[in-house]
Amino acid sequence: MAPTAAAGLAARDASGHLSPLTISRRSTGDDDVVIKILYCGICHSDLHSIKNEWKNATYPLVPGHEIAGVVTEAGKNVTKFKGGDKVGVGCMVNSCHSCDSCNQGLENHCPGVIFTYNSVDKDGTVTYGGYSSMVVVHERFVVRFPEAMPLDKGAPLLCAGITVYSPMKYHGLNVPSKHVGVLGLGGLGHVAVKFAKAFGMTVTVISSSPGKRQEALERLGADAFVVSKNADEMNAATGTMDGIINTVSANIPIAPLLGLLKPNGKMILVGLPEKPMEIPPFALVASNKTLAGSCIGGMADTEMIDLAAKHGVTAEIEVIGADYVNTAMERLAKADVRYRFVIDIGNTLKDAIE
Amino acid sequence: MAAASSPAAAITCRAAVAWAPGQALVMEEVEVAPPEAMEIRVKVVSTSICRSDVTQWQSTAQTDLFPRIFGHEASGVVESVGEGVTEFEVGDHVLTVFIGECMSCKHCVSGKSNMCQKLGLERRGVMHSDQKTRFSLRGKPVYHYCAVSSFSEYTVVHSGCAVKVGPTVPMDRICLLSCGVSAGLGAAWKVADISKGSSVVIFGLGTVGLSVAQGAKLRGASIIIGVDTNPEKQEKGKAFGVTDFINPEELNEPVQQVVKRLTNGGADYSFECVGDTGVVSTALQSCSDGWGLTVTLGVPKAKPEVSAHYALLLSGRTLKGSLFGGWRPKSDLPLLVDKYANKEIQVDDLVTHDLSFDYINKALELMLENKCLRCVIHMPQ
Repeated sequence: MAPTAAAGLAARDASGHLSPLTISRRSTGDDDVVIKILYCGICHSDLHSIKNEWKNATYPLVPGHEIAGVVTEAGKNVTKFKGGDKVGVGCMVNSCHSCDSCNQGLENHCPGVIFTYNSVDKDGTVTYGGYSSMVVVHERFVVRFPEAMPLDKGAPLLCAGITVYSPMKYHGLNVPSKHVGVLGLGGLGHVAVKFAKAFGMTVTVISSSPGKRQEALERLGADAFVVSKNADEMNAATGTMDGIINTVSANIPIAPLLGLLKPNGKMILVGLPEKPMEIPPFALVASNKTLAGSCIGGMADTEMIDLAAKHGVTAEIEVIGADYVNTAMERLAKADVRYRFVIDIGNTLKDAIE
Repeated sequence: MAAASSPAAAITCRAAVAWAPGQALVMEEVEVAPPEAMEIRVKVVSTSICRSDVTQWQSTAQTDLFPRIFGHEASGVVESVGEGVTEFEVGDHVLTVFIGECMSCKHCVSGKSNMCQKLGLERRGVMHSDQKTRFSLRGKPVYHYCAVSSFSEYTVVHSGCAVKVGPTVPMDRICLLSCGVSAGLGAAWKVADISKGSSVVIFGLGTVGLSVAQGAKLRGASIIIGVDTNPEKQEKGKAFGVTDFINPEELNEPVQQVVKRLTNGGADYSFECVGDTGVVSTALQSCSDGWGLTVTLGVPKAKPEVSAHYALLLSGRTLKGSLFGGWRPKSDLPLLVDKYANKEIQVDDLVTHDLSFDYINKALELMLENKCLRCVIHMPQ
């Protein structure tokens, strides 16, 4: 079977402007799953990538790693999926399959990991992401959507969701006795609040925007809200949290935030500030605190989709048509979205091509 | 006492599958069939990696037996028993063994051999009885290794290839008795029957060689020479009874000359534990005229033929091979387990690494790089 042509939206240079491009998808391998893409979330990483802000872009670049759709074909060795299944694909599409990390289902740490877009695949081609009509993926990297999980609101969980779920799991912030802080209330933070509540934890949102208090408490279900610039509120919250999921990518002073942790508490970075952070040693050493990082999550962590379906955890999204994508990117850069854009690929990408 | 005979179903579990010779093992979800007549299905608790696992994994001689699940030194718990099994019950602790004992064939009843005609060394990657596999992956067969295949959370073995052990012995240590340690001790005690005050030379101080040294020491040998090209083995050898260490790479004369000088004409017993047929010849030359006995235990990676000048044999030396130290698994292995439990023999110090199942490829690397003696793989519980 020959490779298949597919419609895509690609950036061709660092301006990041996305325009229609016909791309090629490989023929179906024995272990492959072919997916008709119906929705794709827009992640901040997509914006960084199309503008080559990480200096590693290979153009044309088709972004998108929050893919949701249905299986149209499964290779002969595939037993877990069949045509018609609701599925998703996150940040990775392949790995070496045999290193220690892969054996633990932590393919995100595999030295040979292949990302959903802007990576070199095993056949030497550059991977194209989910802003396209279809994708061909090794079955190991396909996530089954539970029946109760909608494709559009569920798509962002494949990047934003797993990114906040994974550190909660590995750092023990997943039992009702814990009190977790969520720093930043954006695409990652709002999902972090929901997962933390799904685990039964007490949740405090820490934000620099007082205007988000009502949203956090009433709509997202947080238990408390602290304005990071309010000294009284910060003092009242000192030493009350077991962990803080730090989703902020701005450079902000970290010492006052570490003060919110109990002794032995952990701050886990999932956002990437642009400039190096200043970390006062005393803030960590004095009370045995830990500063940690976490990147995406492995396929073992895609179990989060089942927890999410069970507890009704989905992303708050704004669905857009494919022709709106460049405007959406501009709004994303200005933080003018609550909380995630999702492209309605299935219904609108064809229009963009014609 | 017959075990409850509710029909067991297939189990899906993780196994480290070799897809081709020498390629990194891939963790796969395999299906493990129920045990057939006279078979048991075992939940593997610990499995240690033997040099022969590595050699066969790398060998390109049997590429039609891939995909394959290696591993043969293992301890586990009986999960279900097949028709006709009266010896084991669900929940029994067992050691797997790569040669079985049917207890009724010519070899088993002879009392002189462990080369069971029915359950001997399996080389075709299948079960002895029906020549089929018990593992499948996406509907296709996955081949066995020595009818054990312990690099899997569950495996099926013939009841004649399993030995019951007491519930209190540490399963992550006695798995070494399934092959390497027993082979070494048996070579010293059962095959050579080392006598008090004798002289011994051992080529290769891996797990097997160190076990020979331990066996020699426990028999009261007065000189135990260890030969190895790895200088780090000197200290380890000493702990297991080696009295003199020789690194051939540091000599400017043949090693057998040095051995003869140290033993006043040649060792009473020499053991080849390297897996090199050239070393077998050297071992023969190192033992004494008249009565010297050479025992070869190593499995060669290349060049399977042994060559030796006829005069060596004419002058009274003996060359003898040994599989699993001559032990008959059911008749003899419980004795070794008891000796370990009574602290008469030392096994723990041969374990250099304890790794979880996920790290099995790292264990293979350590073996290839000669950076370990035994890696024990701990299965998830």
